[in-house]
Amino acid sequence: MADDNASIAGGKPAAVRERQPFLGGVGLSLGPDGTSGDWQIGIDTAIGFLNRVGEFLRGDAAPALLGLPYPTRLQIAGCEPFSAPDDLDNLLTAALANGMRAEVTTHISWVESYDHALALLTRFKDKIHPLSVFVTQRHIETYGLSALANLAEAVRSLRMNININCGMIPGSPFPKAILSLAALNSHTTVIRSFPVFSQAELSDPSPSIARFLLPEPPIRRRCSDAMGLLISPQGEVYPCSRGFGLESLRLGNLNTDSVEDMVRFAISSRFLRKLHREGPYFLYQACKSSPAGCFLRDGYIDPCDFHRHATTEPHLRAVVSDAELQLESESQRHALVAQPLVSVRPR
Amino acid sequence: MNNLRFNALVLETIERCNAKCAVCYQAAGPKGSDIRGDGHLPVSLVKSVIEQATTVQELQGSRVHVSGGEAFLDYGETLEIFSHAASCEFHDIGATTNAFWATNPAEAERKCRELSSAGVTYLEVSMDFWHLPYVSTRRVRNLLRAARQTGIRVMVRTLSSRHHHMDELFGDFTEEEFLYLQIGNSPVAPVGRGSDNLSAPEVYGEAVAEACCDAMLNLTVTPNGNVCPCCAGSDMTESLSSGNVHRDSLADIVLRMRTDQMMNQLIHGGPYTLLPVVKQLGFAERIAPAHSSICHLCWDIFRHEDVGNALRAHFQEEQFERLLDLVQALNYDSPPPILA
Repeated sequence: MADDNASIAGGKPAAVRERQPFLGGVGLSLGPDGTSGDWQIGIDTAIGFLNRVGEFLRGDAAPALLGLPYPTRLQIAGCEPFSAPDDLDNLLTAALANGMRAEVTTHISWVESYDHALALLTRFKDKIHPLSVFVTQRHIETYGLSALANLAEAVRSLRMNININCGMIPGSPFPKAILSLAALNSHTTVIRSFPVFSQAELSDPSPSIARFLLPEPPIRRRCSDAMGLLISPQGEVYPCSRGFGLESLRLGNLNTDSVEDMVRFAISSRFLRKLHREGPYFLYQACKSSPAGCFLRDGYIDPCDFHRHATTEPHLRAVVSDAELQLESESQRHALVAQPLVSVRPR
Repeated sequence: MNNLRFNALVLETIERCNAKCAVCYQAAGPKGSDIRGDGHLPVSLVKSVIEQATTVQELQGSRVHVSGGEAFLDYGETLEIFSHAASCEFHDIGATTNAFWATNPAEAERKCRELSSAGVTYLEVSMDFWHLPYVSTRRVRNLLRAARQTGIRVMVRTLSSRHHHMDELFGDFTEEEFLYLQIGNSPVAPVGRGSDNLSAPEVYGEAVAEACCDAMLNLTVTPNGNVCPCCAGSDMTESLSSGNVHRDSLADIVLRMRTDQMMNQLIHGGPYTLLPVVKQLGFAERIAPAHSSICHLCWDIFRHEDVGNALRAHFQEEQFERLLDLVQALNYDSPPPILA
């Protein structure tokens, strides 16, 4: 594996270096995922966060540091964005003003009819790209397949794009019925499924969950797809949504730290770069070959599940911290764009 | 041309495919493409193209995508291409395949481990009603399981029509096989072999009048070496090729693409904006009355080489007129010799 800093600071053609966005976009959480309640962030605070990030994205440092495309992708998720349509409208207007195109994740719980969905979505026609719908088998049973069909038809009639994100919960399998919907078959549609098992269910898995687990995380599953500037309702910034709440992954807080400092910290971190390029399997190896290996679980649902476990289980966490410290101490603190790197984590 | 951006370098290395699907837009089969013949990009040339691509500024991101035909017919060669892309610091490396090679779980896992070691991060697997006579869903399921274990992301690419929806494809899938499944569905288009085998009522149509493709471009090299701005239909035409890697450098080809006014109009205005010109040039009767997507319309216009050439000449003339206007606006007493 090439030296991580060499690959960004020298030795490779500039054109190659510049097209590796390290933090691939921005995410704003309105509250817990998978819930359809009211926002847990005030609209003024949310807009303030977007303005802070937008100011950085418009500045001179962002293109050199991140190489992000313009407009930059913004994911708005958590709670139910459409529970406060006026606030959402204002938030999306702020996103556009800050050079961000917003993907919004919603549910089908609010959809009463095609006309209702159409009426609500019309004002957002040019502000959302795409609309993502989180749905589970239980949602389909509760609200009816027609709720998703009506929402999808309304989205199509407005010539918007739609993604379907299917959550699989124990006892709530993949909602196969959605595959028959004409509104999803008649246009280009992306459908994804992922587990929404709780930490408790994963820590002590029943046989019905154990069959979904991998004996060990995949050797190569880069974190690059998941990485971005993910902002919690409290302004905490993490490099990925699955890292929310993990102090060791926290990049800083928008209320106290500058976006540029947080980005520079992330980019200068050999630990994060290694995760970006390789995923957390190197940490799994370190844990497995250490005395703490006995604290590894018998199976993991995905690399993020392992990483979260290894970062929260005290014995494994010591191994992970050692690995991080070793990597960072080996790091040569190159200047990235003729400015000194931030060598300490923003507070 | 402003804002010419490619999301990926697409290498269509081979025309041949083990399947001969009734709707294949490339009209591929065991003896090559019914339209483009039996081309095959030499691996040495593919490696050179990858190296040249590292300095093409218009190529955003870090993605190299290999397709065919069925690129995995020559598995060793395709593996070599993946490794070379990885050694050139491309990080998002993948391919389109129909999974015919995932004959059993062990074989699928062995090959997925090799692919992962070679730098492959994702695969797009074609599975639809028209592939089923050639590749069973069992092989796709073998591949899905192996890919999850090795960390390769998989998107199952499905095609649908009014009588063939996605649900008829996934009946055998277990719950575990649905986990982390990604399905990318598109309505089938009557392009390539599909133009002969799909009836108009069977095809879903989209309202696409104002759409353009400037955010969906891929720098695409076809098996005969032609270079096109996408892999969704332009690659099946001669008139949308901006050069050939057998004789031109990739940089020169991209420069030609950037400065081609017709390409500019097509990419940023969308193919519907060309229809009035097509009519004005007297080719209206050559174009079908309705289309399923902008890609279908684009292919329908440019598959006729004479229509494409006439359009290019039209836009070159317009460009020349604008240059003359510019010169006159600059108040030259007489035009520079080159324009005289």
